[in-house]
Amino acid sequence: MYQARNETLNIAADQLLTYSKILGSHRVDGLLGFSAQEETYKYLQGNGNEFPNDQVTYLSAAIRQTSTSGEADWSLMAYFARANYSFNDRYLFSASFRREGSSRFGANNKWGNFPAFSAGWRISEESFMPETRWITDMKLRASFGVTGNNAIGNYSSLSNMGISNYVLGNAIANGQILSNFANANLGWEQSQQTDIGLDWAMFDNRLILTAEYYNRLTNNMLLSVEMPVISGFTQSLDNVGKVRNRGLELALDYRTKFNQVNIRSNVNLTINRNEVLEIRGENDEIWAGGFYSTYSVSQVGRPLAMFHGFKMVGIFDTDAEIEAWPDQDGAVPGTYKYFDANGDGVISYDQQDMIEIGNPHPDYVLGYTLGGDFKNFDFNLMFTGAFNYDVFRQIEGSTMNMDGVFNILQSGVNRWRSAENPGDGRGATSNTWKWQRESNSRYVYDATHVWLRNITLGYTIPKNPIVPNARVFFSAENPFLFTSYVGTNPDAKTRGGINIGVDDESYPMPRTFTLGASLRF
Amino acid sequence: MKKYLNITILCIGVLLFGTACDEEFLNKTDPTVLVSDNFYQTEKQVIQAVNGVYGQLRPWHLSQWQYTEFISDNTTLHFNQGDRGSGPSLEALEFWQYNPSTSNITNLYNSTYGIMVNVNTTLSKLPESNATDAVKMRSEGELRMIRAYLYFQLVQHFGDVIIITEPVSSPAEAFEYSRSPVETVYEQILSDLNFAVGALPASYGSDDIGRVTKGAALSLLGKVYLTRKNYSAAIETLNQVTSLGYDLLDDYADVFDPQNKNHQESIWDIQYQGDNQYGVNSNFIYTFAPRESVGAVIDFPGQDGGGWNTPTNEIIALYEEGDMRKEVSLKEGYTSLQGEYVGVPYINKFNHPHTIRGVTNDNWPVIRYADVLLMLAEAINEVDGPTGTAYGYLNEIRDRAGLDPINGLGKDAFREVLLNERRIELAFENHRWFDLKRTKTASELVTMLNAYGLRERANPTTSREGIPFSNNDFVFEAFELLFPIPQDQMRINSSLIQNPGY
Repeated sequence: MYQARNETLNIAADQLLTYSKILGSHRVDGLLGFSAQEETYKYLQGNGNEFPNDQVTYLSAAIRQTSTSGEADWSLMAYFARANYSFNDRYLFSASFRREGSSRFGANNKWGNFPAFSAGWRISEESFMPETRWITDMKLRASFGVTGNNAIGNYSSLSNMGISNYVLGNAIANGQILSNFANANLGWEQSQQTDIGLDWAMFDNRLILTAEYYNRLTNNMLLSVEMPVISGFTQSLDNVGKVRNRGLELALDYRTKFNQVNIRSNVNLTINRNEVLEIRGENDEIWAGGFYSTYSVSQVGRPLAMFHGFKMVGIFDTDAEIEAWPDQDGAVPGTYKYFDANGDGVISYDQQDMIEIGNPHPDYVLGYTLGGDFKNFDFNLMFTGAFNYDVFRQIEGSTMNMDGVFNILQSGVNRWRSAENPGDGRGATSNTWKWQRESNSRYVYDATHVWLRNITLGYTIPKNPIVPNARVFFSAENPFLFTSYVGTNPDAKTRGGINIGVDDESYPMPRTFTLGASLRF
Repeated sequence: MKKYLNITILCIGVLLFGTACDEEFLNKTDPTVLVSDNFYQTEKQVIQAVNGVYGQLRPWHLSQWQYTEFISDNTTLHFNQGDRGSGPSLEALEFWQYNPSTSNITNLYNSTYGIMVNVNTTLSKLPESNATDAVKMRSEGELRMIRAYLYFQLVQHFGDVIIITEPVSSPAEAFEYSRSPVETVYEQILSDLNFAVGALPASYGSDDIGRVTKGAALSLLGKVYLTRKNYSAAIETLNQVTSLGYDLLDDYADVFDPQNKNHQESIWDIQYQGDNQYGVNSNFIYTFAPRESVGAVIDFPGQDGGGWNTPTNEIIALYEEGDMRKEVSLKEGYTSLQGEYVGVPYINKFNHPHTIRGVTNDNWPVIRYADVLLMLAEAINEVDGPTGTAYGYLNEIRDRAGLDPINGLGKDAFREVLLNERRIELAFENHRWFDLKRTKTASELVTMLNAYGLRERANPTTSREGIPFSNNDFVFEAFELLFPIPQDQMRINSSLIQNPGY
């Protein structure tokens, strides 16, 4: 039995000073503000195991009892100002500034400054624009803004003491050691984003095109990065690097009517390109993951978190083949043949011959919705898709391991068995500790997919005196997945941050069928 | 009217939060733990910080066998065909297949600096604490002795190493350090040890037994001098240890008996405690016992060992007839619970009855008096040849083992005999690798170790179950006398220089 009392106290104080004035075609408004917020979370939890009877259901009756309590808190403080100006609803300007402090950052860097500007031009309001069905409304907009991120844990900049006991005089002697690295300089991650967009409505809003170009530069990213271990620790949360995400978002919304059939359709396309511009120094790299999973490497000039590993070029069938290949010590027939990337004649058992073997970022992401109704019937379809990207199927390190200690994938029957019976190019890991489980391209799969996420069919029952509003519907979630990816979920982002696209075989996406009715009286 | 109201509220806000409590409001520390900024102040905290360093030596010593015995000709592994999962981490050390990515070398390097940071942080905070001068002096002595010990390990394993004696305040600062030459590392070690010799007491009251003493500092200093081939300084230093009241125990088995901890022969033992669940126990026998011994070696139903650090055929054969140490130090096999004899050898020194599975009570001897006597004999022989005093120390050790005294050797022969005596007397106590590196040249070692490797390949101590060796298994090259600097450290700090050969 588990019982808990949690208490969250969130106190916020906001003061606003606003001003607004309309002078003919000019409209001005402004705002000054101050905000302070503090949250305190306290908990008290008790666990009881082994109750002598079912009648007394309180922790005090349990034979084994444990309890714990704790507290966590954070605070924020901000000063801000904003001014808007518009002329004739045709030219729109806005400027704002926010200075914000967070308790989560180091003593030296608690405060960040976040300015933003935007301008809009409603072209369709201009007198020189012709009155045409092609232009119902057209607006060009541009903005620049800086935003901050403090989504790290509370107290992340501080170092705490941890227990490291010893034995002195044959008795336990309490000992205390540092449990993490204190970084008094830890501060805001800041993103500078520039947007240029066009909103264009045509044919009385029946066709709406939205196009937006964005360029986001993220500076001082909050990452847990490696540091020289002479500091006592191998990792610390720090502000490092600069990453650019730029891309295009296009959306087309179309509605029409054929006789009694209403059709609504929306397609949106996102093309994002991601590039690391800077880490600590020019040649610096961030390596996440490991030798026996995959390395996610962030290098200047490349996208974040590219998969690195050996390039698997085949399976050794015979000893003669091993002899003929660059020295891959310990290889036996049935182990993977790796590419000698640095050309030194030796595949060394470390990172020297590892190269980029995959890219976890899709070239483009697509969403499509189609809906409609006819008389009392309605339907809706929703597709999502992501194209040309890789997933590292980490799980196969164990589900293709033939040592007899794991459950094996069914496809394991097609494994390599001998030169005469080579199977489908997957090795069986047995009796050698090398050249099978290392990060290598064999585990990289293209995860391009289109997913029919939802189908809904509905029927609205005609108005009647008993139930004025009634609808019955059938809906299916995730009914169809079109992909060559062998895992259950090509969209599984089972790890975050700078270690993305690694499939540890999360739970498959459930396919849900619902038959429902909604009645309103 | 509304405007004025807003201004009023804003002003109250600024008054409430905007001025005095501005910084205070944003200072949040975790109330459920001790924050290091506020630690190291009282005497109790200083002592806890020093204890914490000792506490780190506890897990650190559980794995040192890998780098000093296992890698040498003393021990090998109980081959496990069904699970080669420890291949890259442990087999790599045994077969001299290590490289900069070998995880257990990374672990050694990282965990050593992981202790160093607590030594350095405590040392830096010590002067401002309100501990008494006596506690400050003793604590500084303890910390600098441990620091010297750690750098001595590092310099012997890695050669040039980064010397850091203060805590860094930002990640960026940690990138500014580079490796110091071996000579400079030894200067640091000598400076710390000389301080410790002066600062540490010869003994402690009953509550503090287990802390490092003047005797431990002198013994370590003597070992450093011996390693540096400064033999006269070694003799002078180690001679001081002989007047501190240490003595050999009569029975070799008593030296390792947990019922008899911190005895007259102990100079520095890492303290462990079993028979409770406080997590300060050792578990050596669980690593060292044969893999499929199923309760026959470790007396718990179904309990297997790890099958690591298995005594080689060679060391077993080296014991002289009648050497009473053999049965204490190792067993050549065991009788299974079904009554069958299984010829898989194992280290027995740290195998004692205990009440909780996995929780043993054995201390780890870092320096004991027998080591000091053998070091003295070694240093004397290098200066004056095998004098009567040198023979006296050697034969004191042999006499306890029930062996006849040795006499009448030349200097070189005496050196060889001493090395063998150390191999037997201090077997499996993490001396062998350093003893070899201290007493042999690189080319001698290459010859010797490759010859040993060929013999192990031809006739492995434990069955390979038909699995062949890799071509490079047991092939030793001179550069492998030093471990590589871990790849992770090389990668993030391009100014670091790797040891040659890697």
